Amino acid sequence: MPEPSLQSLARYWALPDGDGRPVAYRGGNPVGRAAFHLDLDAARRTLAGLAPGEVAGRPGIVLFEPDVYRFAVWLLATWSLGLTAVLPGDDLPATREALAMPWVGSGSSSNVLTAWHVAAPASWADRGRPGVVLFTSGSTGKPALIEKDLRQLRAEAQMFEEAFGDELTADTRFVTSVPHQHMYGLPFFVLWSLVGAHPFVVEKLRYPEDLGRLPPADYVFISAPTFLKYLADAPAAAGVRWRMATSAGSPLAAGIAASGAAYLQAPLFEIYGSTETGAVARRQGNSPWQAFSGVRLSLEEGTSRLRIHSPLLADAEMESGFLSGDIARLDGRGLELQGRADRLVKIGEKRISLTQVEQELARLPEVASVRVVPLPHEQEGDRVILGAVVVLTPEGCLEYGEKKKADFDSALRRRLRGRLDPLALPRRWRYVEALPCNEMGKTTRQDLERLFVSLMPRAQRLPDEHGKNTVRLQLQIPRDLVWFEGHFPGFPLLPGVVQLDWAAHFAHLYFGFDAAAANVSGLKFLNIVRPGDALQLTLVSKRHGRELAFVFTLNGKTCSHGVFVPRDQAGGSVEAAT
Amino acid sequence: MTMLDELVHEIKAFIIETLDLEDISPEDIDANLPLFGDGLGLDSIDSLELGVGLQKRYGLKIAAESEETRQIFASVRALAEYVAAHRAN
Repeated sequence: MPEPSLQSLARYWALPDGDGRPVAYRGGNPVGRAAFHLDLDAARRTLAGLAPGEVAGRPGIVLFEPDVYRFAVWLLATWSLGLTAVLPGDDLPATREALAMPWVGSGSSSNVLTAWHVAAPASWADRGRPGVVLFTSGSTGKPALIEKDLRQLRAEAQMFEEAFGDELTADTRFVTSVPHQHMYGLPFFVLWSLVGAHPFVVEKLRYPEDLGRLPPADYVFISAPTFLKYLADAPAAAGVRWRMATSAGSPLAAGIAASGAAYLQAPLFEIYGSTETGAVARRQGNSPWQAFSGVRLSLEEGTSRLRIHSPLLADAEMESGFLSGDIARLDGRGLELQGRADRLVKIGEKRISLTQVEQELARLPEVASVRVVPLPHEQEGDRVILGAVVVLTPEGCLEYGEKKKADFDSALRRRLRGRLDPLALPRRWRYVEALPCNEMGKTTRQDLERLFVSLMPRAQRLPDEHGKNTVRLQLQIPRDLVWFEGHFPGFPLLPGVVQLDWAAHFAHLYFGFDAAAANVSGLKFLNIVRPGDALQLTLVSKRHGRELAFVFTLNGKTCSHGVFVPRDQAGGSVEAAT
Repeated sequence: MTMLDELVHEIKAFIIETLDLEDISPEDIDANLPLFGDGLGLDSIDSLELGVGLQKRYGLKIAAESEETRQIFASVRALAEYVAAHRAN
């Protein structure tokens, strides 16, 4: 294959000529280099007419463009004018407001398409070393601003061409299922294909069925576990030959790696890296990670955290290297990752590794995949308990269907006993069809925590002053109580039916009273309950336990009251909720 | 229900409330099984919290980590019997 002209990107806009190969394919039709250069010129003329904003001390514009061909045009045109491109994750009104500088791309006032194929550009001034500014969608939740200059981006594209170039033929096309505005799709799909003069397919693969519609050719697939997991059932595409595929964004399960490689009949490389460091290492299947050439790895003494030296790092980190949050082991065979350093939580003075808890859970035959999150204890504010979000195997589903949830929970806890410290056993269990994940295939801690939002108030029993037929409870209403969602937007109120449900719950807890077999008599709602209120619930057992009266009060005022009565005598009353 | 049966139910509710056990109702707890280890599966922090809770609710002081404590926490029934014999209110 021809030597890729990597220096050409240093001139920002002049790309390798690719021996006349098209730059891209749209709808199966080639987009030639001449058209691409005309488009670049048009975009540069548009940009030259804008007053750039400032980002990270450099002149810049915001680029948001879902069409990857137009994105590539805008990006190169931006750099050619010495400007930095800010790449937001979306173009929602709040994002537009936060990034107050000229926007180009979809929905912008200056649409490059209106100026398509116009004449050559005016001259421009080189205004410093341009690059991109991105926002990480990391697992910590808060987006962080990351800068990449052109040297780093160029080095990364060059690294891939060196590492994988031998896998490709001259006509191999790039196709992807991942967004191009992030630090995976941008270097792997957009920059590598441009720098290596490999044509890219403009249409993203969104569903497995899209594979069946690819025109016959050789392909590289820049993908992620969220898509690869469907490959086992995907249609075969006639005449499509896969040269290789990459996966990044979230861990690739061994089973998916195997079924993916089997479908593609080509090497499937899992990529280890981060927005801060760029790509660091790759592996196939479960073998140890191999660092990319030029990347130097070491371990921090004492903590075993991985330190990365790489030509892809920012200037400021070149000397010290980047200290990652990953615990690792290094030997002659390569790199082994052993979990996140920040995934250690302290419970009762013991350090518990969430990764280890997940690994032990994943070994159970009932568990297909699992995530564990630390949660605050409802009663003891300073205590941390663990919550497990579990996707069950078919075997696990069957067993779950036969048991009460509480029994199933404790069966799982029992099976972990002896393998884990008792403090590390999850206390809260949620069973889901699939782990929640964002567009990048990342499961964020926020999404997991949302599965544990409060359904019940924090209850504390008050001293008995009225004999054994009365129970008084103090109920603290959590602000994140799930029942406030949508009831009502902007004015959260505790629904009456929820109060009825709580009365039934505590009647059962303290008196063994079966409200499911009762109706409610004399039900009245008199005052509203808001988030954060401290309610009192008084339950009084009457007529030798046959009836149960409840009253919710707030600062001495009655909010609601009613009596659970046996169903046969309840003439005209409301059926109790359970 | 006998007095002790009532107290057994009350202790179960007390444990659920104090430890914030989820999706468990009193009848899910076997009064004769151990609270720790293989039975209800409570841990050392739970034992502390139950100790504090017993003092608040029933005015009982339970020494940490003694043989007597192990017997008191042997099961819900054992705990109920202890509370019945020693409660201050």
